[in-house]
Amino acid sequence: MTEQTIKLEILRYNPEADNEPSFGTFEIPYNEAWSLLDALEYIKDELDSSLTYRWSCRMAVCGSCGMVVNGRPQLGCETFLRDHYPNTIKVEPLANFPIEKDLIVDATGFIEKLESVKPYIIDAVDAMKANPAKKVKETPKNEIGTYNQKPAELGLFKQFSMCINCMLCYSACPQMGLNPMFTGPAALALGHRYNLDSRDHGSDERTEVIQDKNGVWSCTFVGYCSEVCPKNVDPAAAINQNKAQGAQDWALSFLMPRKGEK
Amino acid sequence: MSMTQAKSARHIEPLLWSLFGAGGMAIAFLMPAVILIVGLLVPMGILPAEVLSYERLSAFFLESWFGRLCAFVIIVPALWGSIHRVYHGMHDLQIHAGTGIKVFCYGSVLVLTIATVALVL
Amino acid sequence: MSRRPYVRPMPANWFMSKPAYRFYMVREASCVFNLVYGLNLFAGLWQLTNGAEAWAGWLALQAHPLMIVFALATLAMTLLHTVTFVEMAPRVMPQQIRKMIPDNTVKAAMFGGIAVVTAAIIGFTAMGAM
Repeated sequence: MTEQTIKLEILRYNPEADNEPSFGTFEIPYNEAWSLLDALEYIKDELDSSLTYRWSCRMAVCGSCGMVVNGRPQLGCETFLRDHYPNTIKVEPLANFPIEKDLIVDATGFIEKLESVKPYIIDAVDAMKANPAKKVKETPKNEIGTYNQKPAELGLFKQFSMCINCMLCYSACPQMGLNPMFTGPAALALGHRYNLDSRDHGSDERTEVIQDKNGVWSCTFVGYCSEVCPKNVDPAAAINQNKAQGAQDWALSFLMPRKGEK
Repeated sequence: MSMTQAKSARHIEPLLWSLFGAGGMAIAFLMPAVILIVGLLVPMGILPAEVLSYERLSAFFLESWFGRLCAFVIIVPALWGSIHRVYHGMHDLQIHAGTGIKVFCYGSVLVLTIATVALVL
Repeated sequence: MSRRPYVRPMPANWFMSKPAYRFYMVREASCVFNLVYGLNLFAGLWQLTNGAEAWAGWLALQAHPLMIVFALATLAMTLLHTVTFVEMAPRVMPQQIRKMIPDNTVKAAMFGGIAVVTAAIIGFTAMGAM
């Protein structure tokens, strides 16, 4: 009896030898329990030790093993050979990122965009430091010096806090490819997550990035980011809620006296 | 208003997007009925031609205030909503439209908006 | 080891590469039909102000077989717009409201509203002339 096998076509790029990426084909034993990550591990151990990819947790928590599988951005650990067998599986690095080597992409720009939305709680003291003219009502602290938060207040932003920074949404977003300056789905959703937090007073500090032309206004609601998100964050909703907010602020800026402006 | 908000208020996208939203709403709610009547039911004879008679429609759209408002709401938001997608569609097709094309696109619709008001008044 | 990151260019026909992108482009293309139809309605209003004869001429244009085909195509694209618009609408609403009203309730209310408005316009238009 011959062993069942499955073919993988993997986009390979070796920066020291190749001028451009090209596909390499591997035929490996088929095991219905294997994830794509297991298959890559088999290739690296048995067939080609130079195959390069990121992975860590193997359970869809760390967000390291994002790759494009048959055209769809997916986590390698969540993709199973049995869902593709007997067809060939085509594996590429995440789209819209520079390829560092094989399936590894350069995430530097992504990290910078994440940082640009100030993804941390800006409390009343910090908010007033940033803008002394602004009156901020401090959120009361409890007796042990932390903030209480009601389940409903948590529920408001919880969905947007589930992001694991796997970058699948950046790979899914054509606007990202058309305008690499676009802040992008995950970072804008993260900014929204902090803006919605009852402990946070930093929305003014995030406005410049979120409401910039390269912020939410570069989005055309393709919606594919939310489709591929492994954690149901729905970044498309986060972005478009900010467009509605921005439109409202834009209109109000004509009606309201410009208080606090130099 | 803080400095950051002042900075973000410098571009006009929030206004264009609001008009796009209004247009999307108007197209979704009104266009199916309008196209059915004007484009299909009357031309194909399913509804009698008197439905769109000159006397009837000119009295409604050109002489009643509700009719004038209807004419405006059917035509104008749909144009703003459509041109917004046309402009962004050019970006999707990697046609790099400069400021001139942008002004031409939205400017034309602004002209049509004013013309619509002039026509019904 | 030297770094030499490879940047893949965005293909000119990127939107053909995935069903989700193709659907997006068809959704966006609905605007071309609605733009032309909006211009057609504007022309109609203009002809209405030019008197009975001009109006009759515009009505005759609407009955041209090619125009009927265009109206059918526009209706189909408009319905695609309507469905996708309603699908997206609740997700654009402020999160505070979304937590109070389920998305499906908003969608049902919108589809219901569209049905009522469509019936009202057709009914109102048809009735007086029958």
